[in-house]
Formats: sequence, structure tokens, C-alpha cells
Amino acid sequence: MALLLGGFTAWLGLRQAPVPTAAQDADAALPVWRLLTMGAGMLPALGLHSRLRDLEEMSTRPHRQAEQRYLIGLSVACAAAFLAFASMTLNPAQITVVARSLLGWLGLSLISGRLFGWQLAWALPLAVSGVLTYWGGGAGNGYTWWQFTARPHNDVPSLLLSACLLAAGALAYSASAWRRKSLRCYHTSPASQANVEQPGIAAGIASTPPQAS
Amino acid sequence: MTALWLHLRASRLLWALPPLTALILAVLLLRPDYWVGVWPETGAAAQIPAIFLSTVAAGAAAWISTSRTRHRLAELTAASAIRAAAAEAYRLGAVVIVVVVPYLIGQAVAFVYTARTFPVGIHLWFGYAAMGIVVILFAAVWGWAFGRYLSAVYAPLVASLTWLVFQVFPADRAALSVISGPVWQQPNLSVLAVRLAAVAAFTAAVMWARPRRTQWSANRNAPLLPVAAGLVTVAATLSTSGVIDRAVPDRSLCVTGEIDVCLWPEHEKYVPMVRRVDARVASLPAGFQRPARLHEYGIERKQFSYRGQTVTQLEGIDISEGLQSNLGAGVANAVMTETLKPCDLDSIRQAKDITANAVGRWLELYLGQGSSAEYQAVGAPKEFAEAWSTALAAYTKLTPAQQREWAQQRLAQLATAYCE
Repeated sequence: MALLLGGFTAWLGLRQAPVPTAAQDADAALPVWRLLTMGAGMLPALGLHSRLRDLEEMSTRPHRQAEQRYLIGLSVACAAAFLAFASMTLNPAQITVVARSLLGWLGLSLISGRLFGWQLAWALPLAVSGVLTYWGGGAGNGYTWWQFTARPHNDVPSLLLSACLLAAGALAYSASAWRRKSLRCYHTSPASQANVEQPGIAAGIASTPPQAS
Repeated sequence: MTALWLHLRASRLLWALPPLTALILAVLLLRPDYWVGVWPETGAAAQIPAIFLSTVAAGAAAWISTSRTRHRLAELTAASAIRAAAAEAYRLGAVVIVVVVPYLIGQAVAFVYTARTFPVGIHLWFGYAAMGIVVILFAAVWGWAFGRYLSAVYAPLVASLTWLVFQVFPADRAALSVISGPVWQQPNLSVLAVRLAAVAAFTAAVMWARPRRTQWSANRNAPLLPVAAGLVTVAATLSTSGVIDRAVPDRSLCVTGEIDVCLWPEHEKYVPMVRRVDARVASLPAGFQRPARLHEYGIERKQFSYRGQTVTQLEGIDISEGLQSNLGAGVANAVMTETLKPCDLDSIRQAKDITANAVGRWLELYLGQGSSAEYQAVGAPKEFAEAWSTALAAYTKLTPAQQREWAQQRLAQLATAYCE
């Protein structure tokens, strides 16, 4: 899939198309490579979908670790394949932007997947891309600071934003059903904690024990 | 009807209605509001959300389309008494309704904004509103077809991404959707009807084609019919153009003054702006010559032959974005052309004299009252940049009376040096 997207990027990526924006006097044009980058950035999160998800929610550390390795491996492989193909026609500055926005899209799709289920990991990135395109500014006045998919390759705020999105995505990914449940238990009143077993241990999580009251 | 209502009520997509409506209204209202008061621009502005909505429609339709296999109900539904095509149609209908309702709300809000002044040309609003609906319907079937034949994990991604690329790249030239509705263009209703018919045929083909084979049926047919219908619809879209140039209006709206300016009748709301610029023209010092009459873009046409073909070129001043600076620049250009008519332009060019350019640029600023973002002389020759900065300095640092004196002196210099 990533190869396919990369191929398309190499083939059509440099074409530009006018898009609607909220800016006046802006000849905004959206290069196709930006759209395809979003597709490539969503693939790893989609790959987390499993038909046995109910069963997997009960899983313990070995499975979680395997899943983490799978996610990281898939992300690296997708990114590498996509970038390799894309670099056939895109110039180094554009490749840097692609690599940067891949981080952001991956983070967003992880958040989306955690919220709506991994099969719907595409929903949030798609919505965000609409917002970025429409309100993110255009050719005339440059892009707004949060348009992380289009700012120049050496732009620091975009890099930070992409990294933050990836971190938020990683956080969302780590918020498994077990962890959320254990957090909820710690937040209940001290009186009810007496009845709660320590779920953190069962889930194999290193978290702070409840404060003794 | 009851079945459709049941599908709609049971659909989780209903939760998407409030956020989608909010998004549509944001897209419509959080942007420059020059569309208010002009019907074609109103229709086009409220049609822009359809570009985003159709992408959502493609993804959502693909998602809902796969629900049968996701929930492993393929066997069950294949064995049900109700016709498979009808069942599919109800589900697709529910998706379409969830996406079309926010779109129509957006169009209704836009309608109300412009209906307050109710200018002429409401049929143009209707055309653009219909255009958005065609886009959404096409996208929904597009997504549904992908959901039919791809796995649930990839179908929505592939559907929405391919739709987005199709829409902004090849279909843009065919004006499947537009990003503005300038008054000299109109939606091509017959083309819209053809597209709608093609989309309807595509829908029927997708509905009637047998679903992906179940374990027990021997249906291994390739989806020839839906693919063919899809390709025909794409071809019907790409080979036509959704907008065409309008005919010259029978009676244009002419504002008389120092210079008569004729507008499209739909541009009634720009009459005060024309009068404002005309008052500035009236205050110009002696030396400036005024043309008798100017036209808005598209009212004047020039025909010439190019490689044996007769080409019609639209001419005039483009004020479609409602900026006084655009009108000012157009009028300034005409005034300078008229003023420099008796002069030897070639010798001005050879002498690299910036005076004429400086006065022209000052006139643009003076008439347009510097009302918008200034365009800059990027990549222009050095003389231009110099002339423009001279003009800007005169415009910002001198009082209006001093400016007029400044311009008059420059014109007198030009007249003695280059003009008869």
C-alpha cells in the first residue's frame, strides 16, 4: 500500500490543484504529494486493526510488546517505502516536509484509532486535513504556524507540532483499556479503593500505587 | 420510507450530523464575506463545503458499505427475503441523507444572508446549489463501490483519498465543483443533468451488482458492470465543463458620473463603491484625462481570430471579490491610458523614466484608497519597484491636497518631455 502511494507520489506528486481557502487573494494550490502523504501516514494505525480485538484487550505484556514492535516496524517500513519512492521526483526540501508531516499524520491517526477504533483511524486525519487546507493560509500570505504539512522544511514550530502530535498519538496508543480502567480506579474515593485489587500489576504496568490515606 | 427511516435512526452516522453542520457553517462564515448580496457567489460559497463533505461522504459510504462484512452478516443478508439491491439502496440513502442535510443547511443559511437584499439572478444560486448535490451524490456512490469490493480496513481510506485526488486534480478542470462563482460565469445546467443521470446509472449498477460472494454462493463474477458504469461517469464528468461563460446582459447596470461604469445587474451591491471611486475621480487635478465609459469584466468582449478560430476574449474590470482596490486599479489603468494617449510611450520606455509608472501607481492607491492587501512588485524590473515605492511614499506621507499637487507636477513634467 505504501509502495503504491509512493509510486503515485512519484508519478503525480508534483501536480498542483487549486483548492478553496478562507484567505482572500490567495492563489492557493495543493500539491498532490501532500494528500498522498496523509494516506501513507495513516497506514500503520490502520494496520493495528484486528478481528480478535476483544480478546486482545485482555492481553498481557508479551502481546503488547509484540504489538508495539509491529507498530514501530510498520511505521518505519511504510515511511521508508513511501519516502524512497517519493524521492524519485520530489526535491530534498519537499522530502523533509513529507517526513515531518508523516510524524504528525501518524500521531493523529493513532489518536483517531484510539477514539473511534483502529478501522476508523482515517477519520480524524481527514477532518484535520480539511481544516489545514481551508484555514491554513495560502500562497499570498504564507501558511499559518500550525499548517505543519506545508510550512518550509526548516520551520521549527511545524517540527515541534508534528513531534507533539506523534507524542500525543503514542500516548493515545498506550492508553489501552486496562490502563484507562486502572486510572479510573485510582481516581475513585479512598473508601472504595479498599475493594479494588491492584489492576496495574495484573496488566503488567509500572504505575504509581494508590496513595495511602 | 419506513425502512429508510429505520436505517437512518439506527445509523451511527447520525452522531456526525451536529459536527458536520458546525463545520459547514464555519467553512461558510469564517471567510471573507464578499459573497453576501451576490447570488452566484452565494451559491458558490455555500457549495465549497461540498468539496469537504463529499470526501467525508466517500469515506463514510465506504465504511457503512463494509458493515455487512464487518459484522459478518453477509450470509444472513444474502438469504433474506428482501431484494438485495433494495436493502443496499436504503443503506446508501441513509448515508446520503446524513451528508446532504448539513449541506442544505449551509445553503439555506447562505440563502438567508443574500435574501435580505434580494438582488437579481437567483437562478444562478440554484445552479451552484445543485452542483454541490451532484458532487456529494457522486462521492457517496464512489465510496460505496470501494466498500463493496475492498476490505473494511482499507476501503474508506482508499475511497476518500482517491476521491480527494480525483476531485482536486482532474475534475477541477471540468468544474465538477467550483471555488468561486464569478458573475460572468454560470453553472451549466444541462451538463449537471447529464452528470446526475450518469451518477444515477452508476448507483443503479453498484446496487444491482451482486455483493461480494458469500461462502455458499457460486457468484464469482468480476464487478464488470459497476466498474464500467463508474468509468462512464468519470468520463462524462471529465469531458464536460460544469460552468460556462454567460452571455452579455441585455441591460447592464450603468452608474453615471465622471466616468460611467457599467456593472452586471447582479452586482447591484457594488454601486456605492463605484460612486465612492467616482468621487475620487472627480477630485483629480487637471491633466488627467478620463475615458467616457468603463465596463465590468465580461460585459465587454473582443473577438479575434487565432489560428483560424474565432476566439472571444472577456475584457473589463474584475471586481468579483468586492475590493475597492481592484476597481481603483482598473479605473486608474484606464485613466492613465487615456492621459498618456498623446505621448510617445516608446521614448518613455527607452529613457527608463519611472514618472509615468509612479503616477499610475499613485492613482491606483488614491482611487482604491489602499483598501486591501497591497500587491507587490515581486520579480518586476527594478524601475517598477522604484516607481511603486515612490508612489507609496507619496500616498502615505502627503496630505490628499499635497498628493494631488504632486501628481499634477509629475504629469506636467511628462507632458513637456514626451507629449505633443
